[in-house]
Amino acid sequence: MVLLEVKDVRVYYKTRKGIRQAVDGVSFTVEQGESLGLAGESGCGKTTIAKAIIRLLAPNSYISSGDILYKGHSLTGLTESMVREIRWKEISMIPQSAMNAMDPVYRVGAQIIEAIRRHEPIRKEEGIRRAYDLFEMVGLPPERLQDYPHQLSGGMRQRSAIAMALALKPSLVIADEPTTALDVITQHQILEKINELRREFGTSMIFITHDISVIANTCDKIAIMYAGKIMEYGSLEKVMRRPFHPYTIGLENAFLSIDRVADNLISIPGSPPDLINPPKGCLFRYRCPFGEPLCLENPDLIEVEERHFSACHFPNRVEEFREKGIREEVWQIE
Amino acid sequence: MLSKSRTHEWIIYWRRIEEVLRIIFKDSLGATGFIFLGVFIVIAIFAPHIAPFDPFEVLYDHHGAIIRFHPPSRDFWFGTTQFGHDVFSQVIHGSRVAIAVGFLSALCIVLIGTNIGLISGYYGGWIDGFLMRTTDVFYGIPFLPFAIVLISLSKPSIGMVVLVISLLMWRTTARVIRSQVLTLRERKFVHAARSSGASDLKIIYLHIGPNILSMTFLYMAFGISWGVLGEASLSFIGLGDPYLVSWGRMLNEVFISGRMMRAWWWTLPPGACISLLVVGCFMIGRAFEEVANPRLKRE
Amino acid sequence: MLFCLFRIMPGDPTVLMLHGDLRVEDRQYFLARWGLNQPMYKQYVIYVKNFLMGDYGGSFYYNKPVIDVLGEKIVNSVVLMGTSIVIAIFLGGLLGALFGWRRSGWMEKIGITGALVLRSMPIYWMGILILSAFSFWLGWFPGRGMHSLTFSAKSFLANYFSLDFLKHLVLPLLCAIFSYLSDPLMIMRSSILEVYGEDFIEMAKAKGLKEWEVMIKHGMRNAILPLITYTSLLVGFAFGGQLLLEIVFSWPGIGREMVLAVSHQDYPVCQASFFLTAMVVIVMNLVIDILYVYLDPRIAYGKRY
Repeated sequence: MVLLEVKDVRVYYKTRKGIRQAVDGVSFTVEQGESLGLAGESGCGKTTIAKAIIRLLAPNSYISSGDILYKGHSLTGLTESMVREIRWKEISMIPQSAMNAMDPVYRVGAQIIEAIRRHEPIRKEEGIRRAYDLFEMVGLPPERLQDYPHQLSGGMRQRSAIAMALALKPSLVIADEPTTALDVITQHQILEKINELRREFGTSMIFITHDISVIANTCDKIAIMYAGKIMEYGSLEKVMRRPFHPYTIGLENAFLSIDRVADNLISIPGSPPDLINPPKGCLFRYRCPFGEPLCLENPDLIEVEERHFSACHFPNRVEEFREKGIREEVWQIE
Repeated sequence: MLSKSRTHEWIIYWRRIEEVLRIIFKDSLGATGFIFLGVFIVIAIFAPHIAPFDPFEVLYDHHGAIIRFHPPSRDFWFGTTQFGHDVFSQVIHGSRVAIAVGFLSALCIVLIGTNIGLISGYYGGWIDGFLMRTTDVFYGIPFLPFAIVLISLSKPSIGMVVLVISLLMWRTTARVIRSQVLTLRERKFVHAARSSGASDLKIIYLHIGPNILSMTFLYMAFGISWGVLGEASLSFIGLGDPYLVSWGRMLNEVFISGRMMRAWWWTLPPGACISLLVVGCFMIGRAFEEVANPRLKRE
Repeated sequence: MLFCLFRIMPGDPTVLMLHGDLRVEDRQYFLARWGLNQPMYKQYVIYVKNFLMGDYGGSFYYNKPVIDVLGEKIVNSVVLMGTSIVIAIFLGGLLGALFGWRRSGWMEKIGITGALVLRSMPIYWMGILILSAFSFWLGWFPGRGMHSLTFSAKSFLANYFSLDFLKHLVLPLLCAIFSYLSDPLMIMRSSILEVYGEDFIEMAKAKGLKEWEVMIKHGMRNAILPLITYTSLLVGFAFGGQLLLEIVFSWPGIGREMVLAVSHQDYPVCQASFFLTAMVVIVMNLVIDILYVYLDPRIAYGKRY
């Protein structure tokens, strides 16, 4: 059953220099119990689209077109107070850095209870009891509920953020780079815990990251974003094993993961284009080694396999891409 | 050879000053403030030529009676006081005291505060500790009561006023400059200067100094405002210089006369002038605020 | 801060020493009273002891012990000053937070300009204007003193909690608040601007809290810390303002007494009021420091892994 459907959404920012097209026609779905990974470089729009879902956008940004459907109902049409009801109870968030995401002047337990009591009128003792349970669930000693955020270690803070995110048993959790600020060992532990809890509660998840190897451990489906558009989209296995888009191929070779031995890491030189008045055509063509004149026309998402989409004009050249893509020299263009 | 390079180094101060002035004028608020200040300076300098009467001249009408409490008229633009003095002339001459005290105290505050901040921040250690303790002492002293005690010990005069203001108001400047110096001290150009064998004094005044110039100017602007307000407050209590006319003193006289409400022409101008001058200083200060704290800028 | 106490002290004996133009009889009185004919350090000790015990000698002018003269006046001053500071901080903070939270063009500009103007106006001028407007012209409020002439307090508390007192309180209080408002406003505003960009504010919104809830519970609670630091500055500054207000509104407080003492050449009263003023400032600073530690858990609690 489809839980969340993002339909051709465009999110624009008004800036001094012009209108920045942060998200330009993005569509994806998240089924019940499914985990979608949103991967891409910084600035590609992945955080923007996620925030657009719960309407946490900056005041100078707006959804220019498209719709977001949650359980069949349109989110974009809701009033602010209706959105507030949905927040946390239906859709919650795990932040990137729990240190900054928790108010330093309130105790951790109090902040969790605050989230609960906002949506359910329970008594204080009940709130404390639930917070206890949540902490046990994520593997934290309940006495630590009394601590202030700065008294906890990075991993503990992230766990408490997870506890808080699951406090109201939401149907969808948006995890915004939840492990980026942690060391590798803790990263692994946190990811394990997230998986475990997801399986137990059947929560859907949108997992935002720039590290593909992390997605490989947690997601069912993956969408690769670049410059505000989706480049490739499909199940994890299909996209990772048989990538079609040059960008995906480049990314996969750029990350180290524990289960893969890599002799050399390739970084894709260059940087994404400026999204204020972006040029026409495929926006990746400036860094893509396989460009052709047709790339001057904007590629749509083509279904290259069953339920596997790629936004490149040349799915037929995919063998060549995959073969050349693992070689570093190929990416050093001009 | 040596003297040439010396002057060349000091030119950096001039360039920084130019930069500072540019900052002031770029901001519309700052430019307006500067103009306010400029107007008052001009008035102060040319006061004897602008004012139609001597501020202490007693005015008589054709019957030989003293013209007291006369409302504004063609002859007396701001009316007269209880003692038959022309309010307008008093206001004009009052600007001299205001500007003089303002600038002098600001200068002293900045000199004392900046130097203490520079030395304290640069040397650190026990010098820093000692100097900061001293500033803390002044921190606890409320301005007006202390000023009263000091001035009551000697005769009230304009010198005393400047002294008192300078003595108490340098504290914030020192603190702020010190924290700036602390950050600058670790920067590469200081290390470079030190390794090239420059003496401490040179580093402080030639290298670090020009970089805190904008802060110094900020506190110069504030210093003027503190000076003006301080002098006015002291004169209002009656501790100002008895031989000079000042805006505070005018307010003192009008208050004592008990006719503040009815003689509005006497009450309003001095207070308004103080406010305008101080507002001007604050506006200049605001121009620097946006530089120091870019987050306050509008998007 | 305790050091401050001991460092202000040297000021006072020297004040005594420098009184060159005391009349000869007064001098003798002093010498005997304070034991000035004894070695310097002994004098100092006696001096300090006396001051700490509240013995300030006798007033020249009133011919009463200084304590009697000043005792009640201190309370009067603190009442006015305390109330005005508390309200000014509260109101200024709230307005500053509102201005910082919603950067709505014109209202913010007017607010800031207003704050700037209020800050530039000499407090006594504002006092005179307010007096003229509300007392002389409109006649709504009395213009002098703390009580009407016909008023007699039935008890100590009745002194301060009567309608008559409140009527007399309004104008000076208003003047003080207007004068002290702008700094807390600006400080809170820039503090809130900094806090607004923090992640936990976004988090609070994501939890579904209402806008004003986020602003007050999370925004202000964090932004208030610089304001607390400023409060200690305000206390020192407000004593000066207080003094001027007492003169304009003839409020029987310690500031006014001090100025009168100077004109009467009543040195004991002058010194003692200065000393008491400094004491109050120091005590208030202490209280504020404690408050700050209480409000910022990062200082109170260290790390525990």
